[in-house]
Amino acid sequence: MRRFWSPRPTRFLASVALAAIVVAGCAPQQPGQTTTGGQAPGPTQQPAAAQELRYPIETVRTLDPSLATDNVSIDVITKIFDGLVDLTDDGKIAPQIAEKWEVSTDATKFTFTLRSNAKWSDGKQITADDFVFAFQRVLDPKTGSEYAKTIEVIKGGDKALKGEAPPTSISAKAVNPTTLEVETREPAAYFLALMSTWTAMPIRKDLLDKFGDKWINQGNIQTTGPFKLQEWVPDQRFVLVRNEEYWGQKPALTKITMRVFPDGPDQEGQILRAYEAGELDVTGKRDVPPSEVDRVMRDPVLSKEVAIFDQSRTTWVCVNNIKAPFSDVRVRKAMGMSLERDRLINQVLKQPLKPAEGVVPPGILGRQPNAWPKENLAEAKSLLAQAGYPDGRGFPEFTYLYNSSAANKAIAEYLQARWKEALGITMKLEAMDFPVLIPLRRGNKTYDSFRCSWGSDFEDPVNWYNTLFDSTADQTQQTTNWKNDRFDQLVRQAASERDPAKRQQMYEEADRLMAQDYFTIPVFFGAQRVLVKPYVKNYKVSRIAEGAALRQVSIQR
Amino acid sequence: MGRYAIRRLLAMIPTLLAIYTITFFLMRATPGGPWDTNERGLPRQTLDALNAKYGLDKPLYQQYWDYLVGVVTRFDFGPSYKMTNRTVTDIVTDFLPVSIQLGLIAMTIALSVGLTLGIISALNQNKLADYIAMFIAIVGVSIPTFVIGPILVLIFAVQFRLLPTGGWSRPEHMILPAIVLALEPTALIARYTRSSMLEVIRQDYIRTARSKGLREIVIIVRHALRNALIPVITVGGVLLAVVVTGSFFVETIFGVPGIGRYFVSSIANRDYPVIMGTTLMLATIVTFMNLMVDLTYGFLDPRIRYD
Repeated sequence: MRRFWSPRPTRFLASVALAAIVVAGCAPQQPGQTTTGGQAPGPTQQPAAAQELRYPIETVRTLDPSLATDNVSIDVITKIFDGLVDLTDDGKIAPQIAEKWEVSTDATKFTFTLRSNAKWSDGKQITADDFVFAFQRVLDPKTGSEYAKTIEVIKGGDKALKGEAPPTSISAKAVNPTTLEVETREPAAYFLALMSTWTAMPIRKDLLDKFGDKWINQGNIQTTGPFKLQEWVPDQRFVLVRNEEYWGQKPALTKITMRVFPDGPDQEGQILRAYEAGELDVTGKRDVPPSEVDRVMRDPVLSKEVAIFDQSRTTWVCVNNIKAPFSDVRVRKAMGMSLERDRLINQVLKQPLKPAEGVVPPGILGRQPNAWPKENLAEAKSLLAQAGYPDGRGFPEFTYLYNSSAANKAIAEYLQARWKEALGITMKLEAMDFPVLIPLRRGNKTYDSFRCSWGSDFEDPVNWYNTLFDSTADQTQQTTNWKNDRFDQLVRQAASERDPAKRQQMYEEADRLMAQDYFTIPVFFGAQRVLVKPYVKNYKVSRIAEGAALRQVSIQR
Repeated sequence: MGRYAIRRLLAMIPTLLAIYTITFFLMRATPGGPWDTNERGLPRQTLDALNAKYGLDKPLYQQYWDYLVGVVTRFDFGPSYKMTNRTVTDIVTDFLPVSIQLGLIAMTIALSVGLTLGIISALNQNKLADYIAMFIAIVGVSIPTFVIGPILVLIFAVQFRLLPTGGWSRPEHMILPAIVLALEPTALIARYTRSSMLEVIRQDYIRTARSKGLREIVIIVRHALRNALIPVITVGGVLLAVVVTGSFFVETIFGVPGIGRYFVSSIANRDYPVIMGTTLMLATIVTFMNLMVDLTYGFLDPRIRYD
């Protein structure tokens, strides 16, 4: 035994110190990287005017467009994938891989003509088959696509998804390599907008056959967008470079280094510090953290780099419309009208959010903001009294469920304090993990209230009025147990209406019905306060899930 | 001793099986499933399809058995439900080495600094040097990493721009996370070393050594420290196991692509195979470290026998 132990432990300490030097001298271990030869080290200072952008993202789960559901994955996917069409910020459908399309008069048949010069990043032509394969794959229950419902309106899609018919039986076919024909189960005026979402991006069958789930790995993946994936070091960075095979105008940027900031309690703080240390050119789409807002806005340099972008997102309070006292519209209105949304936004949350009068955010057709009740404490109190609860007397204590996060907690505590002081009603708060809240929301008939929030997948009224509020729509989402037959009828008609003016009218009437029933309590519309270095031009955070659009960004020093 | 080691290794099997069983039923008893993590709830048919795809539609005892069989016979820890192109084995083999590397550096710092501080304060009991060393130790255990980490980043990365704020590709990326990760073990080792040194230097054999006229350094290092190390090794072994399996806070603060954050994110995502894989990995490392610690005792104190 003795011989294993040096009789002079000083030598032991010396060897520990030596080991420290040896270990510290190694370069850090690179996860998931098998090739180490001559790789340039991570992001460093760039030479002036290089068209390179350093952009932060969070943990990316997948680059598979058929499987992606989270904003972060979608952020990267929309940089490297183009679909048939693009939905522009002003709500127009713009051609992308499809150079033109025809819609049948009853809005059930869509014929797309693909650009013959549109190529995958490896130079292969993008064909109608790539879309057909992608649609079939999404609608195959074995794929487990969580967003399959998005394109289920394709004729035969519902049967395929239930496993009652093979996915190849759906009505999407490649007439020839550049002609794609899709039929929908019912008139679907919104179908073109839907084709702009990531779920409808083309997929290469040969890659899936060859690589299986690993087709999205660095070196395997082929894409259709203006940028392509050069490097993916898991949990560290994505390097995107310009796709030289891109058919359209090539972006100014030649390289985007996306550094991964892992999900954690201080993620926004970390992004801000990296930005201030000169390691990032933008803070991506992440807000300046509330605790730093005052300092940033006072700082002579940082305050000039602040940019605010509205989001197509609303946060509201769902209340159970079939449970007393919330079954009384006067109670719901009193609760909504007694809030001081400006104070919540500016003093509590310190975010550039917009007070929400109605539940559907700006940018979506049909909004009737003036039809919704305005903040008015006196009237709120009188409504509550009329409902039988003067000064909140006799109002039962109720519970508000929310998924825990610093911001959600601040909102919950504001609501609790405000309703107590303004109306004299008592709300209990219950915070929980998101996976616990979701099943509780699903079809729940007995709850009191919970936090609800929704961001557009695509900016079309169907993604709000129909997806969320039609009483027969899948009630897994924002269950308020509200039902208004006229509303249901209107939004269903509107979804298939081809005449834009008539369609708008129908949604407007539907919005007025929502305002009249005030079935839910709107709180605010989303917006992001980000930082952008002055040499980054045309930087714009998208209103929907996809982060910043980078194809028009350039660097000018 | 070889027989002892083998016996202990065999004893790991029921331990790991118990941990597997408890973890399996705990995670499945937790409300919410892997598909309940999205703002958009899933339609029934999609849920069914997903459950079928991953075998979650089978009876629970069947799932318990199937996974176990997969692990034992094929060393297959299953796919990640959330990282669509990765298996649990991919995640562990990619990220555990990073945590081990960082952990070893941190542990090296902790041992060298902790032992030194502990010895200094024991030899200068109730003097200024003792107070200073123990103050450092108390600071080390009492300031959480998520406070000290961002402060160091603000000073060294944002203010003076000497080091990067985070990331993991060059040696300088390791400095701040290693220091922050080392703080707590340093403090613990310093305190353990101090108290056991204090006990040892009052022993008769130290007085004997002194009376023989040995040099102080020989007395301290050969006679005192060696005997004082047993409790330090005991705690050090567990600390090492904890440190090399990563730290959620250190890894998220500094953007270190280690395994530690997966302990937390897998639970938040209800990513069952990842929860199970990381838990079994941690359990194996901890039980193995305990065995190593026990074997080390024999080297330090020849009176300890393993029959």
